Amino acid sequence: MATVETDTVTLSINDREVTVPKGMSLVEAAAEAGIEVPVFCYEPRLGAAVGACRMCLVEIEGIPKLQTACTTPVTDGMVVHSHSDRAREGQDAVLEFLLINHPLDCPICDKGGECPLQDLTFRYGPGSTRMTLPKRTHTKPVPISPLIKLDRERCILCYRCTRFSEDVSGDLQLVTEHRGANSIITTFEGRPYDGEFSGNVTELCPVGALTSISYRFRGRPWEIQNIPTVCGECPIGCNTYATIREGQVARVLSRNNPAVDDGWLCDRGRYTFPSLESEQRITTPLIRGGRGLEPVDGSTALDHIADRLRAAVERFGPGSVAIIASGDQTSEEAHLWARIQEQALGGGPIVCGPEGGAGWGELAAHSATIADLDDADLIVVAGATDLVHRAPILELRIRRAVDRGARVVTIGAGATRLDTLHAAEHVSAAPGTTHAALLAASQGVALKGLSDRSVILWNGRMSAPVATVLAHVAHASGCRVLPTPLAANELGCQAAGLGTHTPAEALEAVEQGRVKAVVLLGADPVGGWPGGDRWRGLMERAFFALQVSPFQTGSSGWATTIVPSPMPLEKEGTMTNIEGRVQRLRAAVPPPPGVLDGIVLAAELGRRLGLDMPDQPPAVFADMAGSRAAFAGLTWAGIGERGVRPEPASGSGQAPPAPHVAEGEPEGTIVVGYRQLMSGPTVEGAPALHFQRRSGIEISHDDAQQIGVATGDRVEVSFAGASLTGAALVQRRLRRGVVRLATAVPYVGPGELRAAPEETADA
Amino acid sequence: MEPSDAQTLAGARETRPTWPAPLPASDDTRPLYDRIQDVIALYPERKSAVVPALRLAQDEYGWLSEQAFDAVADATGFTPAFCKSVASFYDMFRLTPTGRYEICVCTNVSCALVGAAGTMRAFERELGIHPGETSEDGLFTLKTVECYGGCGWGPVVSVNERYHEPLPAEQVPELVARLRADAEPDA
Ligand code: SF4
Ligand code: FES
Ligand code: FES
Repeated sequence: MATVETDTVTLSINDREVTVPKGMSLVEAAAEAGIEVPVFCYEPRLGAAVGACRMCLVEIEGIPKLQTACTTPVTDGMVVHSHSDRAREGQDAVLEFLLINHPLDCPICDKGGECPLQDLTFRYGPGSTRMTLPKRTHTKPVPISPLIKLDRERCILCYRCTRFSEDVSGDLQLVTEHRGANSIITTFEGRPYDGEFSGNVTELCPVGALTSISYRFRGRPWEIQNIPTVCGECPIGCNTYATIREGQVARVLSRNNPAVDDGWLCDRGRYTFPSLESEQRITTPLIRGGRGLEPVDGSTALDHIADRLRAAVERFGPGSVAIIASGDQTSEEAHLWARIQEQALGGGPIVCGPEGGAGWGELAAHSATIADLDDADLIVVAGATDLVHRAPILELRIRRAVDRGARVVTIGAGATRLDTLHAAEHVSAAPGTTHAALLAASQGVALKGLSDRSVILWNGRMSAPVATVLAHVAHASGCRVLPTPLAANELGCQAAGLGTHTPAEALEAVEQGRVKAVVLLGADPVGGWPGGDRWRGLMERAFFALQVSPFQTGSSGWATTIVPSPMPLEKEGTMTNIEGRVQRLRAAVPPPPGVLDGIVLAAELGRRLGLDMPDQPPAVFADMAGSRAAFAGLTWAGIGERGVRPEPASGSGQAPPAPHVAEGEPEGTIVVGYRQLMSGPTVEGAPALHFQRRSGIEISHDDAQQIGVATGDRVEVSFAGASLTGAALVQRRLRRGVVRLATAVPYVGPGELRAAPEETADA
Repeated sequence: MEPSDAQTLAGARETRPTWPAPLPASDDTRPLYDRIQDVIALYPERKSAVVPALRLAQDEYGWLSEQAFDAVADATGFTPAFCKSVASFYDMFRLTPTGRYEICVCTNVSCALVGAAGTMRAFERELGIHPGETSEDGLFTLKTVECYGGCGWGPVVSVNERYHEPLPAEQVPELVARLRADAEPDA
């Protein structure tokens, strides 16, 4: 919130005079004055300071006892000494105490060399100990999940980790048990810490107590290199460092960008890097011949592809090749492929992602930034599932906004984590009619107070009718909207021209016989998109079917040529995130041998098709900025470490067309199948994450009673021509008639629910 | 034996029965979940209901087992981890199964000054167990606790949540015998 500081105070710290805003803590004021006050538990991102570790003791004239600088607000005329004999004595004593039971096993500790406890012991403390008794011991290290181990002997009980779990992520799974000197950090009865943000505690822990299992004993800080890049797993694009040791990614850390991620990462972004080495990766081009797919070298593959594409256009005319992209490509790759389609293949359909991109253009003028959530007085989250599956990190920002007093209204099927927030109000809406409920709520009392300080987060599939409602509500109230794309660079791909048709339009073109060849860029329409059969029909009948993908997928079986592509940690380029911020991806490691760089692949292919294409990322970016309006005026160098968000085109200011939404509510059971956060080929390639997958079929309390089942009983759901059996998860707050489950192919529509018959398989 | 003035710091208190009656059992037979909802309704903050909810669960299950925490978590909307974190802070919650009589001896400063250590030793001798242990016959669990707020009448001991104050070491054998006798019929 842009608080206008009307009041400042002036104080003296170590005889230096500073003037700072009222309400600031002494630690911050000292930092302003260029003075270090040692801290362990102080971490402003965790909320109000708690004064747990006592490391920040300072002397304040007029107060007889030393005070903790992190919890003491500045006052006018305060005279503070942080380096006086008394202050030093206090700080030294605290450090001596902290080390009494600490094992001092720095030589074999993963934190060694980047450890605040080590650093402060170097600068403070008596340098030796008077402790002659044996140290307290614990069983160690104990895994608190398949991702994290805890060494309780190293723990200094600063409570950063438990504050994160309670106040930031709100999962309340990592807690303190017992009291005083017997306190321990733990999960409940050895159950794993199962929360999508759990990995952040490994970065918060100021000692080596909480460590990522995947990084234990992998490297010392002086042997590694941290490459600043951006996470390519979802459309937030959290800023990251990829730690490289001996040419391999050893871990992924946060790189605090307050406008985007606030220094947090979700576990998908942090722990999917092992998929770089996944066995499912394709590492050589393959061409289908008499004996199935046969490996070939890169230039043979390129010649073959160019030849087939040229042949398709000659035989079936311009526009007979469709490009189906996943939306995970860099904008540069997207731009080059779009140019190939536009300039060499005659402009056939291009689809970007299973949701297809309709409607985004209408909303540009109303688009919110991520940081707008911080200042919002009212946040509306509309959608039938947990926000974490589409835009994980935003959940943390919304929680913080609510703590600061923002109102949050959720519109959807209920039983999401944001519904259970203390302050949340809930508007129940049948899945599929959420936009209608939003429109009605905006005109009624539920969203009274919607203003230019409000943000609507659309947590679901974007479509033309949804966009019309959002544009209308935004225009009428002045609020901003933040819709969630599905793929990491869906917005960048679209802006770069890769995305001209919706999947439905493309399928229509196929079925009318206009499309004869297909290029799959990262997409797996056969295995993971709605209408899989129809896509398979296209692939089966295609004159030429090329798949460009890092992994074998459900579509691979129908491809006639397969070319491997690099993963985000192996790419140079840019991606455009949910709020339109263009951010730099840096190649942390080279792709495996045999895998062509994505830009080089497209450029080489373009050249074979007679186009003049650059093949270096900065040159491609310049080419793109010169021809695509969304990138106009941007320069490669100007993107910098934090990315740039070009001002979205302002709208005409005219009222958008009034939305027409169907009245009435759907009858019967509605099934919501959603793609869960912990799914997809990268998660597949990171087995340690699999324990976080959500299984179970969520059903409402009423429905459970009606069919006579309780949590854990088996139920059967049928939808979209298939049926599925699983354990029921009865949700007291879920809307009646809604059945929700994680599926590979997203689905919202009618279905049926019944209690599954007893298993009689062996009878 | 009646407590005498000399044995207490603040003087004898005639108002205290020497042998307090056991706590009356609740006659509310509704499911734990529903009784916890009533408690939640009493507080503006849901968090405030966790301690009373844990007490109800402890009465229901006898001690706070994994199952008890799951039940409290389900009813209050917090996680079992959070509920156990709260419970483990307080001595009055039982995290392990206890004997029929839970004997808690205050060993904080005021009680220590008037002989809590002697009282504790007397219990250890009489029962043959140390603090934190349960006797083999399942009758007694011995614990130390922090200040019970009865500092004027130390040493303070509680038996199944009823105070015996003061309980000097000499009275321990009589108390133990009495408890054994009371338990006799079902032994
Ligand atoms: S585990 Fe680390 S973060 Fe948690 S209390 Fe201990 S030292 Fe602090
Ligand atoms: S930093 Fe101030 S008490 Fe921990
Ligand atoms: S010290 Fe024992 S009751 Fe206070």
